[in-house]
Amino acid sequence: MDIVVHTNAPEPVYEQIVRQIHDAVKSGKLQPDAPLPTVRQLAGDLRLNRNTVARAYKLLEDQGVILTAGRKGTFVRFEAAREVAKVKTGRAERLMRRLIKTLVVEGMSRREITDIFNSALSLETRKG
Amino acid sequence: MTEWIDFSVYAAMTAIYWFVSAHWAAAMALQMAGDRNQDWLTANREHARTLLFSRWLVGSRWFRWSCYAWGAVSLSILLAIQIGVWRQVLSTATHAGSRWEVLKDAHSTLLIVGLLYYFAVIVVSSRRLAKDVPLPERRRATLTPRTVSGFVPRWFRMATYALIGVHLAAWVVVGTLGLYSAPDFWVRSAGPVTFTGIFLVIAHAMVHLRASDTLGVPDRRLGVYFVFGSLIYAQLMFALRLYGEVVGPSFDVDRALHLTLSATLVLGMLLLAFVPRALKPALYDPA
Repeated sequence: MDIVVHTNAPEPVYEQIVRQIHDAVKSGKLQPDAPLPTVRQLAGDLRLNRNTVARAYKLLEDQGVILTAGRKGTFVRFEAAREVAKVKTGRAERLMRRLIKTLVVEGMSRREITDIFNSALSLETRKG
Repeated sequence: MTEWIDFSVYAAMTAIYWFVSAHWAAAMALQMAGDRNQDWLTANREHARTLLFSRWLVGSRWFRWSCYAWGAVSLSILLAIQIGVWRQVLSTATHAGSRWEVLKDAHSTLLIVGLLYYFAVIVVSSRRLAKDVPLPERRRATLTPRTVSGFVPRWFRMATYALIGVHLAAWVVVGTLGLYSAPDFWVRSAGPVTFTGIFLVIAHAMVHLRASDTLGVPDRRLGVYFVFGSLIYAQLMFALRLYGEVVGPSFDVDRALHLTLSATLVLGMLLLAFVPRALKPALYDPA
């Protein structure tokens, strides 16, 4: 399986790598205990600075998605799918809370916020 | 009479290298540009050719003619030594004593000097190419790790490592039992150990490199096989040297080693240059 990065995209490259590995774990394309390329290999193939790939791997390791076993290499953890789901819900929750805080500060009531949320959700799910 | 064999091998190597390599360098530069950014090369083919002939040095006429000139000078010097016109040049050996040694030393010196110039031009050319050809914005890579075991079958690897083990053990046995004839045996034994170590590191590091057409190797499989082949070849060459250490000065180890190595390089260059890619399908499996 391949990953593709766009160096001119607004999203930082290391986040693109993290996101695509998350997606691969979630979709099952990367199975538990699957080996990942070394930082050197991935950085060389993508023509990126090694620190960029190392940063992505560090973030994935902190999230509990991958495990670096020294000379043995880097592997997808058995609990990776659960950890990815946790990361995604965690991120979604942080975004929602930030938005709700903004709306509350602007003086909107709970009912107004709920109505707007339900309306936007219907619109987006219909589109998607 | 036998010195004509030495002369023929060195002359062939000189001719093939200096009269063919300039063309290789130009083809290599275009491949490097394509490897760096194929979309750019496709969209700017004419501009790339202009840069090749002007800024990227290796495609320029003066570089080609300088290679031809060095080849001609080298051949002339070798011929002058062989026919006795020039009895001692670029060597500490005496013509009367061992003409093959004078030929060997002269050939080595001329080749090394020429190669220093050649690679200096390649380095400058590569840097200019890197400045002129932008990296693509969209880049793709595999998430499958590459290891040597993925390129070379296990039996081949084990056989190579076993050969290395036996060979290096032989050096230790000869040294320990004092079977050598020259006093600097242990200094010379550093050669096979160092060379083997370097090539083992290269073999394992090579799998991490980008697949590239830069050196005319379309994929790293051929490169890994080449390194393993060099490892095996080196064991055989150093085994020959070990035999010379035991037998003593009656066996011209240096001459045999040098000639065999040069002849192998000539064969290798001929293979690379003239055997069509279609005849080597098994090795060109993109990885």
